[in-house]
Amino acid sequence: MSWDQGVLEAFIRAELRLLNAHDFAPWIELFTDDGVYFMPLDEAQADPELYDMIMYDNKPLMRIRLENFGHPDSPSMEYPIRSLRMISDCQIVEDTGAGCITETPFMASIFYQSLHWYAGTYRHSFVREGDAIKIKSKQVNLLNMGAPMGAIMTYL
Amino acid sequence: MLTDEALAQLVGETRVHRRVYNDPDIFDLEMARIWGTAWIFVGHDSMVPGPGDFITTTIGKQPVIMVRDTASGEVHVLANRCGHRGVKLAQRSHGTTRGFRCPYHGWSYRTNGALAGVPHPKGYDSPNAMRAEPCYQIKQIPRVDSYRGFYFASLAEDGPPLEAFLGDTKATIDNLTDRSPEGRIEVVGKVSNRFVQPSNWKNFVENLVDAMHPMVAHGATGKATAAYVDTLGEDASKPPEAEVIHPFGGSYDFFDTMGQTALPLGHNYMGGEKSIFSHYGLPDDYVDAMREAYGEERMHDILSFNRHNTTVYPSLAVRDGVQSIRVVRPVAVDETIIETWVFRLVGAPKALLDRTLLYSRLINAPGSMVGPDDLDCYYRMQRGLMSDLNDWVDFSRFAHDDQDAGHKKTGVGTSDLVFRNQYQAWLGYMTENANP
Repeated sequence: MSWDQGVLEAFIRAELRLLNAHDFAPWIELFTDDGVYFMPLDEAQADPELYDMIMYDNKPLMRIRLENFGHPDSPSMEYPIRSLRMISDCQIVEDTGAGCITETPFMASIFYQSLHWYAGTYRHSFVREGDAIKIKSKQVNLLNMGAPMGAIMTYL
Repeated sequence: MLTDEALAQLVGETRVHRRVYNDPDIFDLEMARIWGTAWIFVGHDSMVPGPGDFITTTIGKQPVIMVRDTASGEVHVLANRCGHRGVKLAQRSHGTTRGFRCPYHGWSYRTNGALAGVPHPKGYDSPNAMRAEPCYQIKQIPRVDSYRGFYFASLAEDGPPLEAFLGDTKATIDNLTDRSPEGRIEVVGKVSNRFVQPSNWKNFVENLVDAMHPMVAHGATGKATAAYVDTLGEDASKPPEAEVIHPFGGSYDFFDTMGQTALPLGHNYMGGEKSIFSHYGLPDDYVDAMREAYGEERMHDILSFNRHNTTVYPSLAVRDGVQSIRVVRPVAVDETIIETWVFRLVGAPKALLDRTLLYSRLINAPGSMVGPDDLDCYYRMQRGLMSDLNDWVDFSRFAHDDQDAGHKKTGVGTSDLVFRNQYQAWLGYMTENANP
């Protein structure tokens, strides 16, 4: 069964609404149990099994990060974080029936002490679990991947 | 005027003046007298494996190229500056080239820095003779040497040879390399994580061996990890993520028993027999490969060597137990770039690389949970020290308990011994005619 671009774009918009609201618990549940979120340092270093990443969370790490967000003992979490993500032109680039991959340009504004802008492409890998769509991986390719950067305080 | 006397007044036995962190004139002097004389880590042999491979980086404020000669295979460290008008020749972080060509007026150079050609040369009196004129070549950094694939360079013509400079830190580099059954390591990837730290470079060098901060600054991550593990139930095995993060919320006693060792020239390390890595399990196939390569006794010596954050002052920290290094690149008095490079142990199972990557992502990466807490503390220290109502930064912990063992001093893990040692070295470098 092939995948519908409109359904997937709506899924991604709903996913980003959860991130914008910092509603991380249901966001984590969008991933498969072996799902991963990662941010490569270089296009040639995009395999998280082989290379270091700017950011990488599997499901256990997402759950640890969920506990860490806003923790009163964390100095870096003392500041409020407000964020807004926008996408356009979501495209299916691979459709195997069982799974599919989309690429979606995004811009994200994160207020953390000051305003930070990020831009790039989301590369989502989707699978079906029963009637549900799940994220097997979300790869965030930043335009400035590989450049020196400050702390990235939340998921983009 | 920063006279030797004025500089000496900034470093007490158990305290330093806030100006060492936030005075731009002192930063400039550090670039000349510390970063301009000490052996500075440039790169690892495996970052430039083939002819013409290069990386660009800095020694203090000075841009340099580390390149493997296309003809001889030798590694050179060159000033990243055209011999004509001074334009930076290589702009990318890495690449492969047959030579360097200036983008402005087209002067070209071989990978050993020799002038190869000048466009439209008839305007010069002796175009051919220019190829022999030192002022028209890319300058070689005065001293370049390597130890087991780790390349260092010094901008000073004279000084101790590299191995004398490294001293006992060589043992950590040995251990990192010998953890490979083949005695070889390779850097993973051409691009490293580079963290921009909004503070002075010394904040980072101190933090590496600051055993009083993990349970405070990283206490939240330790507690978050414990809270997650609690949800798994008593019978569940702990995930590897918990194994790596958990020590960051370790107790004072845990860190005390690790110990600190201060070495000449400001070098130091935590641990020795015990570190935050010493509880890590090792895959059976790795132990088998190590035993076959080294024999039982030597294998035991290698794998029981447990140093944490060996600092080769001022530019390099080596984590042999998790096969990674962190490299200090000062930018300004209140800005530093920290590179994190991870290594593959050649001949070791993939599980070793998995843990190396896990550690880096959890602790060092810009998107990690641990790194941002350190960064925020550095930022606050840099800003807090703008206050002139208290000029001093305290390093008095265990001030009278240093154990002097000749060429080194040791103390309990939470001693400020290593900071006092760093600043004695700092003063030695900074004051003329003094030996750090």
